[in-house]
Amino acid sequence: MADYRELWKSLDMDLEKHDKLCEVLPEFYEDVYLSQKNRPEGMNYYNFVISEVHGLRIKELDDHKQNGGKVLGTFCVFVPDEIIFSADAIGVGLCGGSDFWVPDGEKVLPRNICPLIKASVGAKISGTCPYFQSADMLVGETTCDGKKKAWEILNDYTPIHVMDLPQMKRENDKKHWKDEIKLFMDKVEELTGNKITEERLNNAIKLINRKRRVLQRLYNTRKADKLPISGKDALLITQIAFYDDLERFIQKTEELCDELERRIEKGVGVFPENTPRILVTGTPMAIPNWKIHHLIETSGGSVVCEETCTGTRYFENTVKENNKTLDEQIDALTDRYLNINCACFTPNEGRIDDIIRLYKEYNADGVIYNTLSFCHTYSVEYKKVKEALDKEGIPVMMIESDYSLQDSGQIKTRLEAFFEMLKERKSAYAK
Amino acid sequence: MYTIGIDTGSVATKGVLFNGNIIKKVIIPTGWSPKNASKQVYTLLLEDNNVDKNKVKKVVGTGYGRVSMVFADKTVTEITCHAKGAYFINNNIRTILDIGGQDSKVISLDEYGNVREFFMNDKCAAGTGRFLQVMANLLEGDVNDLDKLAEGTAPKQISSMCTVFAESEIVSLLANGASKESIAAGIIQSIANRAVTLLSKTSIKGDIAFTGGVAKSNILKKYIESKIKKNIYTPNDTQIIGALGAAVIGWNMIDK
Amino acid sequence: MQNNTYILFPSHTDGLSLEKLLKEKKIKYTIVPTPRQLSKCCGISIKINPNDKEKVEELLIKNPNIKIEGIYTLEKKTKKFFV
Repeated sequence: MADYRELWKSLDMDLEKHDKLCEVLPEFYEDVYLSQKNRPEGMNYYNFVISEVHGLRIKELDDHKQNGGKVLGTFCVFVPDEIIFSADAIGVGLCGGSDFWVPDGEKVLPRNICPLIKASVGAKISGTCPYFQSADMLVGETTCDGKKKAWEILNDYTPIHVMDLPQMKRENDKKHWKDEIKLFMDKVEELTGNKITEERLNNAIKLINRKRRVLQRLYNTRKADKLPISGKDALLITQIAFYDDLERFIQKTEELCDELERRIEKGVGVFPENTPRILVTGTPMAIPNWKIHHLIETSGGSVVCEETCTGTRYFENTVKENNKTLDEQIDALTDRYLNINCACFTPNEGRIDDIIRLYKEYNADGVIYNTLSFCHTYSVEYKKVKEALDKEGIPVMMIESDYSLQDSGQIKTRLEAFFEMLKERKSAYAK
Repeated sequence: MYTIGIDTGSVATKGVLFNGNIIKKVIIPTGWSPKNASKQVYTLLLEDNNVDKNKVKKVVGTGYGRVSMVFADKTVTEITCHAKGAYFINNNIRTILDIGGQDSKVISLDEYGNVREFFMNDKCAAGTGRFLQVMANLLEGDVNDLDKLAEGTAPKQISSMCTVFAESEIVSLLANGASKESIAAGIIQSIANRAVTLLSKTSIKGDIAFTGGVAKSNILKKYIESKIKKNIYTPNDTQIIGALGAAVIGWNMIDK
Repeated sequence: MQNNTYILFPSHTDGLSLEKLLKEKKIKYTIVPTPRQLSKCCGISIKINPNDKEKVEELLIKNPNIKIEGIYTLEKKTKKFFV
C-alpha cells in the first residue's frame, strides 16, 4: 500500500485529523456507490480515482510542482480553466462537500451561511484537504456575498485572486468580464512565469472543449429510455472532471461512453421499468455530497440530468476554436463563460429556458429543485422557476438541505410521495 | 373480502378494516416500537371483528413507521394516503391540511383525487401536535383540554414559531401575570398562523379538509376559517384518514 | 453469511496491472477504497468474489512482476448512513 503520509506531512497537513476523514470514506463509498446493482464496468476507473483522491492525484500535483509547475485551486465554473492550462499550470476544484469540515468553518464564519462555504473554509483551516494544501494560488469569484467575504478570510492562508463577475449580462458587463479575464491572465503569467501565447491558449481551448464534449456524450446516454448509468454515477464523473488529469479523464470517459452506448443498443438499464425520471436543478454538489442523488435513487426515482454547476452548466457550450489573435480568443472565452445561467445574475431567465429544454431533452417526468441551506440566490429564484414550470405543466418539488444526514427520513418521504404522484399522472395520461 | 390500512405515525398508530366501506377503526399509541404497534393494530382489527385473515386480500402500510411494516403487501406515503382517504369521504375535497404529531402538510388534489402538489413543514416540530403538547405541559394541562381552556378568551400573542423559543416566551408571559386561558388561546392561534402560511403555498380550490390529531381542536379550526375566510370540513374522525386511504388503495388493487 | 475478498497492493500500478489481467480472464472484480480494517493508508484495493480467490492466486504466481501486499477475506457488511 503506497504510503502518502510523508507527502501529506510535506504539505503541512493535520495528519491525525485527516486520518479521521479517511476513516469514513471506504464505508461511505460502499454504502452510496458500491451497493448499486449492475454498475457499468467502466465505473472502476472512477472508483480508482476516488480511492486515490488524496493519494495518487496529490502525488501528481506534487510532481508537477517539483518540476516548477504551479497549481491553482478554484471554486466555481466561471473561472476559465483555459487560462490556467495555457500557462502550464494545473487547475483543481477544491474541497467543500462534507459535513466533516463544517465545524472548523464555523470557527471563523457565522452559522447561517451555506454549507459549501463553511466546508471549504473549514477544509482549509483544518489542514485536511490536500488540494487546498497543494495550491499555490486560489481563484475566487463574486458569485455570492458569502463567498465574496470568505475570500478575505482564506487570503490569510493562501494568496487568492478574485475575479469580479458582473451580475447582469448587458454590453458593458461583457466588456467588464473580458477585462477580468485579461487581469486573470496577467496574474497567471506572473505566477507561472509562462507567457500565454495564441498557440498555447488555442491548444488549451481545444483541450477543455474535449473534456466538455465527452461529458456531453456521457449525458447524451442518459436520454435513453433505459438508463445505462445511474444519476449518482454520472454525478460522480462530473465531480471528478474538476480535478482529474485531463487527458486520462477524457480517455477513460470515452471508454465508459462506448460501454454505455453498447448498453443502450442492447437495452440494458440500471433501473426497473417505469422508474420516474428526475431532472435535478439548483446548487452545486461538491465531493462527497451525493445526498440528494442517493436519496432520490433509493426512494424509487432516477436522476437523468443535473442543471447545476456540477452538471450541464459546467460543460454545455464550447469555446470557439482556432481564433487567430489572443484578443479574439479572449472574446470567445468571454462569450462562453458569461453565457452560464447562474442565479447570481439578475434577471436570469436563461436558466428557466434551460430547465424546460433539459426536461424535454432528457425525457424527464419531474423536477427536483435542490438548494443548499442559506443559498439566497437559488432559493429566491425558486418562485420564478416554479411559476414557469407550472405554466408548462411540469411537476416540481423544492428540497432545501445541508450536508447533515439527519433529515434523510423526512426527505425520503417527500421524494416517495412525489414519485407516487408522478406515476399516478403518467398512468392517468396513458388512459 | 376485506383490506386493511395501517398508518403508523410518530404518536398514534391507526388502522382501518375496509370492504368498500369502513367496517372498523382502531387507534392506539405508537409507543417506542412502531413495528409492534402496527402488528397490534392488525391483530385488533381481525380479532374484534372475527375476520379470518385469509379474507383480508391486501394490507397497505403508511406513516413514518411504514418501513418497519414487513407484513404489508405495499407501503405508500402518508401524502398519497391522505389524498385517497379524504377524497373517499368527500369527493369535493381539493385541499387537505393535515397536522399530525410531528409534521404538518398541505396537499392539493385534482378532480379525481390524485395528488397535484404538496408541501410539508421543515424538519422542526413548529406548528405540530408536538408543539401543542410541549406548550400544554407548560400550562400543566392535558393537550386535549387546551380547547376548553382557551374557549372564549382573547389570545395572547405568541410570536415564536420555534418550540424552544415559544417555551421561554410563555414562561415569561406567565411570570408577567398573563392568564393560562389567554396563553392557551395564543398557542392555538400561533398554530393557526403557521397552518395558514402553509395553506397559502397552494391555490385553494374546492373544499378544504382538516385532518390529523391536531384537527380535533375546534378553536383551531375556527381561527383558520376566519383567517382564510372559507369554511373547513373536518371528518368525524380526523385521525384515521391516512389509514383509510391506505385501505382504499389496497381495495383498488384487488380484482373484485 | 457473505464474504468479500480483497487484494492489497504496494502501489496503485500493481493494482492496475492485475486489473488488466482480470479483465482479460473475464474474472469479475471491483476497484474499491481499501477497507480500514485492512489498512490505514488511503488507496485502492481490488475486491473479488471469494470463489475466484484460487484462480487469482494462480494468476499472480504466473505473473510475479505484479506485487501484492496480501489477500484478505472479510465478512460483507454495509453500514447504512442514510436512515
